[in-house]
Amino acid sequence: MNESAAVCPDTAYRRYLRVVFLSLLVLSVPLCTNFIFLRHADEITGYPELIRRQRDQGTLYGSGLNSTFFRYKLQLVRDVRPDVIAVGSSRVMQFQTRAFRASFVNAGGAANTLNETRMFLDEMFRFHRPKLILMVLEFYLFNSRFFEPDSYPDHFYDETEITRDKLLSPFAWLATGKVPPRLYAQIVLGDIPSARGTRWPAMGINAIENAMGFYPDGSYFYGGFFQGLSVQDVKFSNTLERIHEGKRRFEYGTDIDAKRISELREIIAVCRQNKVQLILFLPPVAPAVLRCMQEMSEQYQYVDRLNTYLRSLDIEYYDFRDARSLGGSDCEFIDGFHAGNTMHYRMLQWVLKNRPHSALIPYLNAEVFSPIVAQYTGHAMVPEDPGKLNFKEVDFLQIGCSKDSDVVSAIKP
Amino acid sequence: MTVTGFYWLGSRNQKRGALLWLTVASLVFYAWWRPVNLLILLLSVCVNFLLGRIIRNRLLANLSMTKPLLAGILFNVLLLGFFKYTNFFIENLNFVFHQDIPGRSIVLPLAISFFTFTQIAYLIDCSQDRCAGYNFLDYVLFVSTFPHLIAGPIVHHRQLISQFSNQDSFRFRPRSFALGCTIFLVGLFKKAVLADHLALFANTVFSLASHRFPLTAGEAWTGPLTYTLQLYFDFSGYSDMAIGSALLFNLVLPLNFNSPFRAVNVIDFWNRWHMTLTRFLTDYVYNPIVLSITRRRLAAGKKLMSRTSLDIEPFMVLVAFPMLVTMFVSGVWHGAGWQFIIFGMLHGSYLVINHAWHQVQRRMGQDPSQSSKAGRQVARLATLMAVMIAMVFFRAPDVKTAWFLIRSMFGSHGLSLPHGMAAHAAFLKALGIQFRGFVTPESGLNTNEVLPWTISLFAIAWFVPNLYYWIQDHTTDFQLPSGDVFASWWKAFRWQPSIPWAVSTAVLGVVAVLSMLSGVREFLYFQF
Repeated sequence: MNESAAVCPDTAYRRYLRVVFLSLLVLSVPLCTNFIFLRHADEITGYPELIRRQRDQGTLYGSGLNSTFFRYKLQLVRDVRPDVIAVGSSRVMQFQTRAFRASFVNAGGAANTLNETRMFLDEMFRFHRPKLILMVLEFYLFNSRFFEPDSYPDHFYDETEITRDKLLSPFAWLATGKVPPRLYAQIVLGDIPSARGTRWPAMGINAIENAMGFYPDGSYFYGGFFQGLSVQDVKFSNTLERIHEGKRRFEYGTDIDAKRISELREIIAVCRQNKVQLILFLPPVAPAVLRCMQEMSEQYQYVDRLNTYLRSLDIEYYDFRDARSLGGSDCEFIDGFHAGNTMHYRMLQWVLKNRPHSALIPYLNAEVFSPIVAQYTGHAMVPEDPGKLNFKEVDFLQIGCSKDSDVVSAIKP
Repeated sequence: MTVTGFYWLGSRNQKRGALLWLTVASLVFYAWWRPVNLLILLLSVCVNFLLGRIIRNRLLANLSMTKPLLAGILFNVLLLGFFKYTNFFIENLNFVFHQDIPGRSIVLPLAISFFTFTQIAYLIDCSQDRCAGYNFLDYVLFVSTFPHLIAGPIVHHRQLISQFSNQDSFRFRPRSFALGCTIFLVGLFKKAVLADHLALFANTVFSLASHRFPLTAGEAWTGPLTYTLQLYFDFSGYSDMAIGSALLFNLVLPLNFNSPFRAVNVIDFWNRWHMTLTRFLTDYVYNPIVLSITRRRLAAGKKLMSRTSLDIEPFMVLVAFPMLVTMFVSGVWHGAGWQFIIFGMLHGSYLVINHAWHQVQRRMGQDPSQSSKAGRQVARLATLMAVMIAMVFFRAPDVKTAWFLIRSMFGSHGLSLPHGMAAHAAFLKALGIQFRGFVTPESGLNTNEVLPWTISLFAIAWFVPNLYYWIQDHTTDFQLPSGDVFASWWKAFRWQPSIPWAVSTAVLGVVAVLSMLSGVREFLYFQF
């Protein structure tokens, strides 16, 4: 390099270099700290390792970064190799292992549309064929106005990859108060607290701070809602607004969409080809929400047509939309269209009582239903291990539900 | 580690050891992605070195070196042709002869176009007694030095190998290191933050075009606009990184970009864009053709060109033909596909027209290099438009997609204007013009993102002096060839080894590294 142009002494350039490298170091420190935080909070731990630890230690897993569960649930199925799986969206996530005498995985949240369900089943059948699939059918999936993507890039999301957004997320959490500074410091130092309000070990910041996450069987625990830490659908206002405005899953429609029906038929066919028993059901909505939809039945004609169509199929199918017909109430819902654990026990109990020839019967753990339903009537939550809960469910929907009964230690796991 | 080892050996007067260390590091770097590529690189290097030796020995013995030179050129062309053009050749064979020969699964070795070109130049120079008797280590390092190996700048052997013998190159020099760090980090920022963000818009438009989505004119123009910017920030960013990392070893690489969007015509553009390729094509393709034709014409007593001549025949033979051949080679070098050939020929045509216009101007007694300030701005805009249209072919996956996009750019699928203009220009509705935003929601593009990014980055590329202007008080190694004149107040912002500059450079580096952790990370010119 030509020396003639130097206008500053070497010391100036040396000082410049020192400042550059010092600045790089200083700027890197918070990012490195965030990396340690994410690593300690298991936000960048791979699914195989997560699931192994969940199953070994009974850990609750709730990520603050990952909200797609396709690969997580596939990995769970791969590890457990269950006889029974529940497949569908978040509306199936409340089925729990103890309802079944056979091995069980809840794959809820992994298959949110019909073509995604097909993808999930195709992937799963490559390495495992369960004996029975309990599949939730969302009424809105059959409305052409509900968008169904052609592809799902999130399926290829690598949970272990360090990305810019991941590295910066802890700053946003600190700024918005989602993670208090004290908790941040605690996690960085490697002292990982239990899921909030419980004594369950937790992985993922959502499980740690909000007590929201998956149990080792894949079912979901809405601990934050049950404790009243956050509220989402007070008096079902959010759901009712969707209905009144005909948006976000509650789009209006007259006819069922032929393309979606064809996708369902393919799912049924692929299960038959793989000799897997398939049971379909329409899940419950809160009675207040169902009432509203019935009042606007003109706008939701396609739902009844769907029900009629499903009944005509040569397959075991249940219409559980009406929670009251199962003995449930608004109080047993997490929000307007997500039934809680108790309602899920009610559905299975109904099959047990009323459909003795159902393919489901041999797999059900008949003894648990009556005591659980009796004990948790009016509650959305049926905790996996009540002895480790430090709270009682509150009236988080604020609809005047009485949650006074002492359910914490009534049921032994 | 490489830098530390290099200067540690240098400080112990182990000059050859330091060069060997840098060579090994460069070869490891090259082999990292696909180790088998290293064999191809080493084969190419060994064969060319041996042929260079043979040519030089024959030259010294006054023997003909035509055969070894032709053998060398043939070897390089075949090597490049096999890896880069086999499938293109098969496709065309199938098309012309209605055959169904299956394509081959060939992985293009990284940088094969770059190291093939530099070595052809070396062989030609050897045949013309323009290369010294380099030793093998110097030669391997010249071809494989990691800063320039992957995507240029295309380095001339004399330019680089002469630096290997400079004792000062092995001594740690704070100025060189400080400039190297700064240039590298700014380049990384240009690539990782600016170019990669623009890729999101460009990819969307070209993908929509490939699916024959009926793009409005505004949407269609977004494609070449953002892609042209993306390619500039991507490739010039990479070149900066190459120049910066070479400076860490006291090696000076040639400039590759000099504010190309300030070009006032296409000739000027190619003197500022991928400058080392232009220089190579001029020296090793254009000039030899012109020289050969000139000699033949002189021998045949035919007329040559004068600066003010308007004779068509000598212009076509001595300017147009060599120019079109040169740009054809440029197009083929850039990629295997008819769209690259069209890209090259389009630029060849631009250059021919540009030269013809200059002839006309000179004939009219005007100086082509002189124009009014407003005239220069209009010329810049016209040049940019021409470049962008050619870029459509450069980026599109095939000719049909390129043509579809160009038709869309000129309104074949209508024009949509911003909503706010509806009240003032309602009469345009009768002409079929919509008022649904510069880009429509169906395209997936977001006007609020596309416009600010595009406008601000064009403004930077157009009005802000480039990095080498900022550092020119501290080095004379990067001579800016064009006479761009910037407002004097820019001088206040020139680079200094000061604390604010140091902190700013570090911030750019950290932001760039963070950006690299998301999204697109491939350097566009890696494929060449």
